[in-house]
This record gives sequence, C-alpha cells and structure tokens, in this order.
Amino acid sequence: MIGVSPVATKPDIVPLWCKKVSKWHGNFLGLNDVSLELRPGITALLGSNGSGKSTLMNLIAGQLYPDTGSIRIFGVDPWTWRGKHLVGYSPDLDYFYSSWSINDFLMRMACLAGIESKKVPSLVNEILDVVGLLSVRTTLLRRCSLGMRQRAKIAHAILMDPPLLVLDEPFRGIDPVGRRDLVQLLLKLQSSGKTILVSSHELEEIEKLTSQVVMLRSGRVVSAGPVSRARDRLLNKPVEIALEIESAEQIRFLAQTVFNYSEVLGVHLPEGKAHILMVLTRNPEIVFSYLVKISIENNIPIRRLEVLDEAPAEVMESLFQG
Amino acid sequence: MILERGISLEFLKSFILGVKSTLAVHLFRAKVGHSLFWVSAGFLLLVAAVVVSVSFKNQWNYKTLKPRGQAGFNFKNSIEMIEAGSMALGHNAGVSAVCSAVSGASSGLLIESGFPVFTKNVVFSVLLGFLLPLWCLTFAVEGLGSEREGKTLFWLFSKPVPRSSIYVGKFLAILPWVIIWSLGGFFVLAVCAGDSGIFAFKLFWQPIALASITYASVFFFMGACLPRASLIALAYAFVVETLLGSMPGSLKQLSVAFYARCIMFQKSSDLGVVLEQGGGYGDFSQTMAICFMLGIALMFLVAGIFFFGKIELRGQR
Amino acid sequence: MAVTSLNSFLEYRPWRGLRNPVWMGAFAITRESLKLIFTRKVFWVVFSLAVLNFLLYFFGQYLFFWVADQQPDGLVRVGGFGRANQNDMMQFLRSVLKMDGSPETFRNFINLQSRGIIVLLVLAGASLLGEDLNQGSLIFYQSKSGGMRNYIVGKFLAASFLVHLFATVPALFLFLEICFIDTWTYLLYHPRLLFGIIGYGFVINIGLVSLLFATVGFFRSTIGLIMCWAGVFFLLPSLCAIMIDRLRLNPAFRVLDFWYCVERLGEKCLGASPTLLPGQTDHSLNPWLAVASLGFVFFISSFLTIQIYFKKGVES
Repeated sequence: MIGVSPVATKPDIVPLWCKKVSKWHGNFLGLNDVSLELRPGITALLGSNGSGKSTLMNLIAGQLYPDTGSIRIFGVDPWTWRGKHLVGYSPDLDYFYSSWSINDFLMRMACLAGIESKKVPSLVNEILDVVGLLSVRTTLLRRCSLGMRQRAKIAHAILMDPPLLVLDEPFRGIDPVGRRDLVQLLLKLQSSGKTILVSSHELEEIEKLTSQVVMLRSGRVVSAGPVSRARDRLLNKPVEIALEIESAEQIRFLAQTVFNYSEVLGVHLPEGKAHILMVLTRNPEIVFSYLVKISIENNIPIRRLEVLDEAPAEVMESLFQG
Repeated sequence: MILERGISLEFLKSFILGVKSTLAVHLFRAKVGHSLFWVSAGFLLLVAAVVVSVSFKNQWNYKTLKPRGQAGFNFKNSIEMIEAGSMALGHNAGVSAVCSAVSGASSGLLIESGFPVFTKNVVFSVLLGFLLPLWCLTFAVEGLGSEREGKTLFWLFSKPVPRSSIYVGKFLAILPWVIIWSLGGFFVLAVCAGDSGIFAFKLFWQPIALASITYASVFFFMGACLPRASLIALAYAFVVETLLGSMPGSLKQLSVAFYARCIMFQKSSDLGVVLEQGGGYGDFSQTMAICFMLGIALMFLVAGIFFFGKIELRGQR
Repeated sequence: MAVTSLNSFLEYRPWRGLRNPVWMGAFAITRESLKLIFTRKVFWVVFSLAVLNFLLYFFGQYLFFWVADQQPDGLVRVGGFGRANQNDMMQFLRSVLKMDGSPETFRNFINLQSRGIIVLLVLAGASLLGEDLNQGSLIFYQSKSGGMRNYIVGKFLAASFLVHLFATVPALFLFLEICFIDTWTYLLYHPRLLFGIIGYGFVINIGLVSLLFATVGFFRSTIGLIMCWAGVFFLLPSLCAIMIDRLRLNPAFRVLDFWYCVERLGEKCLGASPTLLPGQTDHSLNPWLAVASLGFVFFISSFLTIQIYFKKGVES
C-alpha cells in the first residue's frame, strides 16, 4: 500500500516516509513538496525524463539532503551514517573503479561497509551467485558489459541486506533473459519481506513486478497507488475496450446494440479486422455487464475482451502528454 | 547537514571501523602511474642529473664563489692572496703564523663547505620551493580528488560509516606515499650530492617529513572539497609556495616552506653554519615552527572533515 | 515504398554551389578553434594584461620622442605637477625603461608579451587540443577528406594566430608608431628591426606551438600541461641559474634552458645586446647552440605529434 500526502502514519514503523520533501538544483526545483510512504513490497517509480525520479531516489538513499521536509527510513534519517544500514541503492550512474574486478569491487565494498573480513568471501560468493556473475567474477569492471555492471550495482545494493532497496533503472542494458532473471530476483526479495522502490522505462518488466506505482511529473507526485486508480482519478480520457467475437456477421449488430447505451461514447470497427469491435466508454464496469447481457441474449460468443490502455505505458503517455 | 550531536560511543566505534576499513582498502592502492606522478619523477631525474653533474665536477663548495658585493676574486683567490702575503711576511714569524692559521682554517672551511652550498642551492630553493609541493600534490590531491573526478564518491558515501572516518582513513592511506616520495626524492638528491648531501639529509629529514605532512593535509583538503582541485593546488604551489615563499619581508610566512626553512636554519645554526642572512628564518624557534606546521595540518584536516561531510552528489550520470 | 535516393526522400534540393579545395578545411578548424579560445575568460584576462603592456610601451615611446623634440637641455613639464630635466628623462627612458625605439625596446616588449602567451597556451591549450583527444573527437576529423593533416594545420594556425596577436603584431605597431612620430627614415635605417620582429615572432611561434602540440598530446589535461611547462619554463632556468651563475659551471649548460635559447635567438634577430639580470654571470651561449636547442625541441615535438595524433589519436 502506498500512502499519499498528507502522511498520517508514524515514520518509524514504515520502510519509507517522506513528508513535504523539496529539493532545489540551483534555480531549478527538482522535487516539489513530495509526500509519500511505502509499505513492504515492490513499488514502481515512473515519470518522464527530468521528472525528478533520480533526485527522489538520491534523497531516499541519503546522497542528497532535502531543502525542505524530511525523509525517514524506519524512523532513521538516511543522510546519517546510521541510515545507510537501512537502504541499498543501485544508482543510474556508470562510474566504477575501472581497474578492479567484479570480485575485488564487492569484497572491498563489503570491507568498507564494516562486514567482518572472515565472512566477506562467502558473502560475496553468495551474492555473485544470486545476481548471476559468479562465472565472470574476475572480469575487470572496465571490460564488463553494461548489463554486467548493472548486476554488479545490484549486488552492491544487496550486500548489507538492507530492508529497503532503491533501484534506479536496473533493467537498462540488460538482455531479455537477464531481465527475466532480475524480475525473478526482485520478486524473491519481495517475498523475503523487503521493500523495493524501482524506477525504469522498461514498462513491460514493471508490469510484471507490481501494480503499485508512484508517478512523478515536473517534480511533483501526480499519482500514488494502483495504476487503475491513477487512471480513474486523473484522466478524463475514456477507456477503449477491444471485443473480439467469433462471428464476423454479428459484429455490426453488436455495434448497433451496444451503441444504444448512454454509457457508450462511441464504437469503432478497425479496418481489416472483421471480428473486432472497439467500444469507447468512461464506465467500463457497467459496459462489461451490458456486453455480457447482449452476448447471452443474442448468442454471440465473445472470444476476447480487453481494456486497451490500462497498462502503465498508456497511462503514462496519456498523463504526460496532457 | 545534520551533525553528530556529541560523540557517542556508537559513533566512536563506527568512526574507528570506518577509518580501519578505509585504510585497509585504500592503503598502498594509491593511483600510481598517472601523469602527475610521471612529471614528478621526471623532475626528480632532472634535478638529480644536475646534482650529479655538479658533484662530478666537485663543485659543492665555496672555492669558485665570490664574496658578496665583490667582483673579481673568488674565495679561493682570497685564500691564495693570504698565503702569498704570509710568505711575503716570512721574516715576521708571528704575523706569518697568524696568516697561515687563517688560510689553513679558511681552506678547511672551503673544503667542508659543500653542506651549506648544497643546502642553499638545492634544498632551500629547488626542493622546498618547487619540488616538495609538487611531489606532495601528486598523491595528496588524488586521494579524494580522483574519486570526485572519477565520480566514484558514491561508493564511499553509501557506506554505513561516518564520512569523517572516510576522510581520515583516506588521508592516512595517502600519507605514507607522500612521505615516502618526498623523503625518497630528497634522499636521491642527497646521495647524488655525495657526503654533503647525505649530511644534509641526516640533518633535515625531519623538517622535510613535517612539511610533507602539512602539504599533504592542505592538498588533500583541496582534492576532497574544491572543484578543479589539481588546478587550485598547482596555483597554490606556484603562487604561494614558490613565488611568495621567496619574497622578502613577511609575505613568505604565508608559505609552509618558510617554517620548514626556519627549522633547517635553526638546526644548521646549532652547528655554527648560517645558511642565509636576513630572510627572517631566525625569528622562529624550532618549536614554534613545528607547532605552526602541525597547526596548519590539523586546521586543514578539521576543515576537510567538516566540508567533506556536507558534499551532496549531484548530476553524476 | 522503396527509397531511391536521399534527396527525393527528404526533399533536399541538389547541391548547386562550388566546393572549396580540401585543404581549406583547415581554415574552418582554425576559425572554430579561435572562437573556442575567445569564449574563455582566461583569454580576455591575459589579453587585457597584454594590452596594458602594449599601451605602456606605446606611450613610453611616444614620451621619449616627444621629450627629444623639446628644447635641448631644457626643462620638461611633467603632467601638471612638476618639471623634469629633459636629459634626465631621456636617460631614464633610454637606459632604465628602454623605451627608445632601440632593438632592446622590442626585445623587452616581446619577452614580456611572451609570458602572457605561455600562460594563455598552458591554460587554453588543453581546451584547444586536449579535449579532442580526451573526448575521442579526433575521429570526426579523421572521417573528413582532409583528415588529420587539416586538423594539425588548422590547430597550428590557431595557436600561431594567438602568438602573433600577442607578440608580433603589437611589436609591428610599435615599430610603425616610431615611423610616424619620428621620421619614415627610421624604417630605412632599421630594416633589420622590422625583419627581426617578424623573425622573433616566428621563433616563438615554432618553439611554443610545437611544444604545445607534443605536451598536450602526451598529457591531455591542463594539470599535466601546467606541470610540464612549469618544469620547462621555471625549473630548468632555476637549475641553469644555480649551475652557471652560482656554481660557475660551463655556460654551455644554458642550452638546457629552452626559453633562454629562444630569447637569445630573438636578440640575434633584432640585433639587441644581451642584458644580464641581477646575479647572472656573463653568458656567451653560442647562437648555434641556441638554434640546436630550438631545433631539438621542434624535432622531438614534431615526432611526438605525428605519433600521437596520426597514429594513436583515435584510440581512447
């Protein structure tokens, strides 16, 4: 569950609690009065380029300090060194110690984090196995592909087993097989009780991970919650329902019948697709019931019924165009 | 920035852990082989070659130098004149004996004068005024400066240890390199100069080491907290240390090299050798100069810890 | 729909102009490089100092010739607050300031201006050349018809423009000034000066610009460039001063001091007499040694330039 401002919960019992957070970059307001709280699970952070996603993530990870407002992770300020125990951050940056190998990098980061030196080798092995880098551990970071470096960053983020993971564009540069593995990994981490905030432009993967989204636009939160709620709350744009029936001869009858209902704004027969009818409405649930009734009364079997623009991509596109 | 309010036991433990872990990871992993290092090495070789050529010609003494304000005769000529005069006055035993004693003592002094000549011409001017700041800069600025320039500060800032411990740990990690490079370079020059140089090294290695630590603190601060740190450090090295440090009057007291020279001046004065007339080096005792240098080092260390803790990582794509 | 030609697809008009020869691409590189330099603040700071120096010499020379025109052995009104002896003023301007239109005047002027050129080339050289190497943009130049040849020529012309803007052109203006305020016979009696100014500018051009190419190609960053040039223009002269002036070694060691060799060649071009700085011993560096030093630097720099820019430039 995601809370939307005003946040009412006490900060020390939620994984992430932001209240009225703003951040200036010189004269430019990067983040404007953002309030939200996250519960355990995966939450997607969506927004177009320059909407403030990375700024918010950097603030949550304690790499930036808010100009106004406050952020708490289980009641601890992430800017302080104590807060760094609680958050694992995989940033969007691609700068490494290029002369180190993947194994060296994780071992040294583990040492810097204060993990006991005896436990470091086994821990690093385990993490490399989890992210799928065990076989290439000795590769120098400057010779790694983008996907390998992405995995190294994620490995670094889960090194200290923090309760909150913040992943900025984790799928960037990873091949489809790798993305599938990463999705599985994140779902596994979610099931172990972690809270994960992930931002990405790979909306297919986001859809597989979660339906909970926080949408940013121009530094403000425009929506927080399920995608459908975002759509319902913010958009005047009607929903388009695609209906596929078995018999092409009955398509016109169906179109005429369904058009009589006041909730239906329009119908459309796509060119070259004789079996498909597109129905435009603001009340999809009511129209569904009408369609079922018409189908039963007139013996018109429905092969497929789909709401076309419920996906985050379409919602995003609509939101950010308007 | 939220400062640590008071020093709790937990903070102390984390601080020590942070220093230890930073030291363990970064000690002896300084970035050697970058362009500044090779330029510093090139300078050392160049100066060493010059020192060797002077040593080869056995010129580390006052024989061919002229007394101040006098044209024509050099010191060797002067002694020869005294000897010639003593021979001319051979019938007066007392005067002749005095002249012989003076010329003998002066000749001995000339022969043993390699130490002040080497110190004045190499240690005071070239080493302290030019080479030492550059050698210290080579490693000290790269300590955290390379992390800033390479945008890898994030990997340090994401660790659950106080930033002050990271700063101190990194400083302690580069310090051995700075001291080894500075003293090593001084030793190379001293060996090239022969006995005079080795004597100078034995006498002056402490102020050189102390100056290196002070420079390391100053340049490390610049690398950690200032943008374009290498440029600013070079400007400091050339303007403050080289230029101001050689100016008459009290302007030179702005340079770290001045206090190192004060210690050297006092040490050589204790042996009866006055390295430089005027210059104000005798105005500071060794203790005062040491306190000044340690104070400067500590001041920049504390300032660095404070400002380093305020750094926010912006726009690191 | 098959695309038959780019023109028809994008509705471009066919090219109707005349194409310039390939070698003229170098001028485009020169033009853009100079624009880049002119946007740097450091250029305008150094340029203003150079202008101040030029104005000092301009008005100093004017004052000398104006004083010379007054009644002989008379008093000259200085501003509105005093009078000075004409002979004393001329002596001061001639002997101390050397602003009397003599070869020493031009030598001193160009030497001072050269300091500004050195600072400018050090601070701006990295952006002029180093950025192309660091950012891997040489490949764009290599992909054009003129290739690296145009690039080297273009950048060389840009750096040479700066050298002559600071040194040769203002010195020629000072020469012209004397022709106007004295007589035009000055040109007839001092032709060597005119050619000497151009020659000195040429010597500085060759020396500094070739050194710039080699050092920027090697270090690629401002810091390395500054340290290297500090070694050449500060450490080497200091070492030579120690060896020759204080320790009385062979004056031929001055050949190590590259800038000293350039200045001595400039003196020879202008026909100026050498001046000893305080503490400096009599120097009698053979001019051919100075030529050899300059030639050595030019040869090594050219070799490094070819190696770095033509062979390794595209590699990151």
